[in-house]
Amino acid sequence: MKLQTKVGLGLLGLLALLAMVGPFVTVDPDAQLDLLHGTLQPPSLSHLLGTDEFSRDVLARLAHGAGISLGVGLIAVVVAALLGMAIGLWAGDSEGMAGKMLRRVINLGLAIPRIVVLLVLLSAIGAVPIWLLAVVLGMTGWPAMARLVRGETLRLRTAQYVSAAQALGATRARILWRDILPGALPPLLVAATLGIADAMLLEAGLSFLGLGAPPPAASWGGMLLESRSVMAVAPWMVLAPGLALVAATSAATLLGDALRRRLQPDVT
Amino acid sequence: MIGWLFRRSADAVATALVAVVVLVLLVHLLPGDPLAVLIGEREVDAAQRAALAASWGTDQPIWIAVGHYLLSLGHGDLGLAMSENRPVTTILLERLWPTLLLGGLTLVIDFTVGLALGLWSALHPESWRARLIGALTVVGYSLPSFVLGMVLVSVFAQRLPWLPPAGLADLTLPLDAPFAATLVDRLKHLVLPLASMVIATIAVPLRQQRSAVMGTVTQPWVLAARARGVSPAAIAWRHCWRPALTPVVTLLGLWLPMLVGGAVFIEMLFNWPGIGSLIAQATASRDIPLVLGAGVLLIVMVQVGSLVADILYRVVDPVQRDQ
Repeated sequence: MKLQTKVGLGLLGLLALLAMVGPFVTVDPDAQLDLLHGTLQPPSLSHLLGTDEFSRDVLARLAHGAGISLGVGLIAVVVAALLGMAIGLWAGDSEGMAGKMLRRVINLGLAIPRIVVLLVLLSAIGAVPIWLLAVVLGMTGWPAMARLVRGETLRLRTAQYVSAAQALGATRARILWRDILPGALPPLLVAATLGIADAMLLEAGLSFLGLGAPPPAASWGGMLLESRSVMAVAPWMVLAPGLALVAATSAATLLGDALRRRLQPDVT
Repeated sequence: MIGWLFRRSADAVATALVAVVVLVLLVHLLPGDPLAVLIGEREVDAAQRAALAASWGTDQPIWIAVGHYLLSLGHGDLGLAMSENRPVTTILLERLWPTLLLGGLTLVIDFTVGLALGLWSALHPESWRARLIGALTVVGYSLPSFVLGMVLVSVFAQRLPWLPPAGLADLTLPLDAPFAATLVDRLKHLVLPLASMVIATIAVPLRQQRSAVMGTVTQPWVLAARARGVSPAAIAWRHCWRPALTPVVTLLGLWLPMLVGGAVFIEMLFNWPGIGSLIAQATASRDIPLVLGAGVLLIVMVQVGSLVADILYRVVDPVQRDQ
């Protein structure tokens, strides 16, 4: 295994540990106020990453945020990949008018910048529950995936083993499911892994604009937004969620690269 | 070529038009009072509300609103912004040049320094410098630009008071200040947002160029050139880099809209008065004509970007050109 892959797996493991074990070890960040020692304490033994302006423990919030960030990234990518897969397969396999129309629909999805759709939708919905944010991120991420799957489908449709299946009398649905989909899956898997990083960055950015999960939810982007006004006196409040975010997106990028080397050795 | 260019442009225009219709529908189907930004906290009775709705056209059925929007778009008129009572086109033009300045410089640096580093590290894959570049690109690729921006502000504007933390220019600088002083002030304001954008985005063209060149260095024609005694510089330039240019050109087309879209967070962080911060502020204040105007501008930029990329693609790839 290459060093990069090990680093990626290690980072992912650390974050998963933080997300799963953290909330039990560190108690509820909102209940665990430490006002006795004042607010904005620098990192110390009792608060490993310091406290924020409400004297909440930053490590505890980071642990709660880990679940949110990883969860949003995963849900968004699963939604985007499933939608992209369905539309891409359908578009690649349809002949004539239907195929042309579906190609146009995909191009249309790519023509409207994702950030514009997200800003409009999220500011209209108002206070967004975190799962809805994840789904909305997924619903706006499908066009790139669909384009990828459509290309693979077009390529595989002329493969010899597909002609053989047709000659043996396999139905269209069976060919799509058993012959074409498995061939289109590796590039989709790579794109989805890399897409987790994009989704997490978008979630953080939108929360940073105040469009993400409303406080007191401890999303990393939300923590960054709160740290903005105090970053001159409390740099740990920027660094903790910032570095966590970099670790999470680096892990997704490294693992995506590793998957690409494994699944698509001919494409680098 | 002319016929192809004509068909390709017509396709771009059609796609942009349908995209605009979808955007208008999306914005109009949203819940909430479209006049809220105009009325604010004021007491308004039903008659006044109806008059307002009639003058802004929000009482019309949706298909009429879409038709009106497209018709006035044909005249280059995007309506009035609700929050400022000025034409949307005027506001967009005001906000366009800061975005083009920041995005354009990022583009130039990404596609000169980034490509050069990518080429170099593909030609020396085993050297420690190339490994360092590789590790740094993974971090840079994952680094959200606004987080980097916050760290840079906290170090170079707050800890060390070297650079201004935000804005486009020093507002206390007199208008008749010498040109040199104005220039230095502008450059100082540019450093931090530009550095954040470049460091966060340069990894993409760098990685793309590196993997494309890695694909060409093992080609038989490179070996043949080396056997003929062609100098290493000429091999790198003509035999490795030229064929590895096409994927980079594709990327260039995606880059133009991405610089505007990705700049939303940076522009908000640095109070940079560009299109990205405009669209974020306009959606926050529900200024529908302004949101639509900025959206239309971005849609046009996406189409222009991909059109330019397709044209360049034909220029750099002779196989494409001859077809």
